[in-house]
Amino acid sequence: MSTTKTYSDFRAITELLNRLNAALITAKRLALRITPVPDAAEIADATEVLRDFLEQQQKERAPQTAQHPGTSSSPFRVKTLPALTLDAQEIDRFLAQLRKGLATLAPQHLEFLERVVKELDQSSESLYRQMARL
Amino acid sequence: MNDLLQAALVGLARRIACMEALLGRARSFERLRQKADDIAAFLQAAECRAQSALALLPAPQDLLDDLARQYNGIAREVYLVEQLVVGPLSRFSSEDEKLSSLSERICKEVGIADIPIVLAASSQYYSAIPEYGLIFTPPIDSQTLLNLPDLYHELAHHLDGRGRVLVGPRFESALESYVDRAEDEIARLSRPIDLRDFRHRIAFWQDWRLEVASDAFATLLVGPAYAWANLHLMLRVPSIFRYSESHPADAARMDFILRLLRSNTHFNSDVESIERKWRAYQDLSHPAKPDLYDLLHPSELFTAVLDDVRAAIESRDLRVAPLAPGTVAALLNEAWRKLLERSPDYAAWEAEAVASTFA
Repeated sequence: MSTTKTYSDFRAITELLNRLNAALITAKRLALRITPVPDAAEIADATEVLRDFLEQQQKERAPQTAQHPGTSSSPFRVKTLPALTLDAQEIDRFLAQLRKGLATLAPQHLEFLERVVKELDQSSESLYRQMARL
Repeated sequence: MNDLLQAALVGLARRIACMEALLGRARSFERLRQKADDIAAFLQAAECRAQSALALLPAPQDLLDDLARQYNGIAREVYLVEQLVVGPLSRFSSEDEKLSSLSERICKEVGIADIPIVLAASSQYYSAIPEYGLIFTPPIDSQTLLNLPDLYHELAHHLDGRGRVLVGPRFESALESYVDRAEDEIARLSRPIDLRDFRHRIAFWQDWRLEVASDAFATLLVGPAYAWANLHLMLRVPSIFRYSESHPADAARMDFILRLLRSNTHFNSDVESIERKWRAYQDLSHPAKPDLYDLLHPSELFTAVLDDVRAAIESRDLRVAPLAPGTVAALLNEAWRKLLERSPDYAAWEAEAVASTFA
């Protein structure tokens, strides 16, 4: 892979990883009542990050006719992000719960989120190893 | 584990502070000042994230994995920026200044406002990091003209990566039709091709399209010198039919560049000469074409990318005049012509040309 593409992918994936992981930490602090308890700004920030990410994932999994013309039978998916192993129903369930508030997320939601960040983490590490020649 | 994480985050913050100090050196060059400020802002954001994680320590067992992951993510970003960006910028040299000044001249000739900094610090060949507006060349490329056509290829990556998208609807539509037609043909003629394998590999065009677009951009802007530089580069990589996930095969790229040059009658004599040499080179022994080669390199996809690039150039009002006297592109074409016509005299001519170009 070219340096240009590898770095671009690395940067996009790692930034998303850092944001989602920070949101996961906030959600866990709430769910597990870990002190210091997150303040309102942290909760709002985490909620927004999760909602934006999952709505984007929802769009990508929407029926092809709803997407841009010219991509219906294309073998391409929206690039940069790795192909995350999430199904549409899981995303819908998580979003529905998130709309009730970050504090309402249950252990199964946190496990779902943890799986996403672990997948991103692996992609980020793999691209980092290529760039840093580790 | 709490202690270790705490130490790692404190160490990272210290590293960021050292990098910010190094950026001070870059700030002494006028053309680097804004870039140094942008990178400092990125580092400050990384430091904020590190401090947020640090504020949660000591943390209960339930959070330690997540905090370790947070450290990893931030540290990877910071260390790569140090390696790829802060290091080379803090050692900005007269060679970098010459190349960056040439980049500025090319951009002004073409009509590009967002001018990349060029660093003669590549450990590979030419590359670009559009996120930071940087292009890297091999260390000696401020002393020779022959590889410089590749600067235009990287300029295309720079533009595309910074939001001036070069490939779009024409290519997407052509790809869709092509995939449908190819799959239909494979099924109808019962060709012994694994459809899943074909679909997996045709998706390489996700990355190939930008490489092909950059070839088109460079060929349109530099003319025959880009084809010569490409042929020259191929002499170092004799597997001309080899393709990878990131790049189409060199042979297919060369054929495309020549097709493009042929469409401009001003290049007739150059094209004839390059084609002759390209055919002679193809006649040497090369490793055979790999699986699916022909199916993955249809000329219609190259042409569709070219149509998108032409539209992008037109919509941005870029100037395409590779033979206009006094331009860098004209000089690079002259360099290749001189090399091929009068090789023994070339070194002396080039030394003089480099001295006046980079003066």
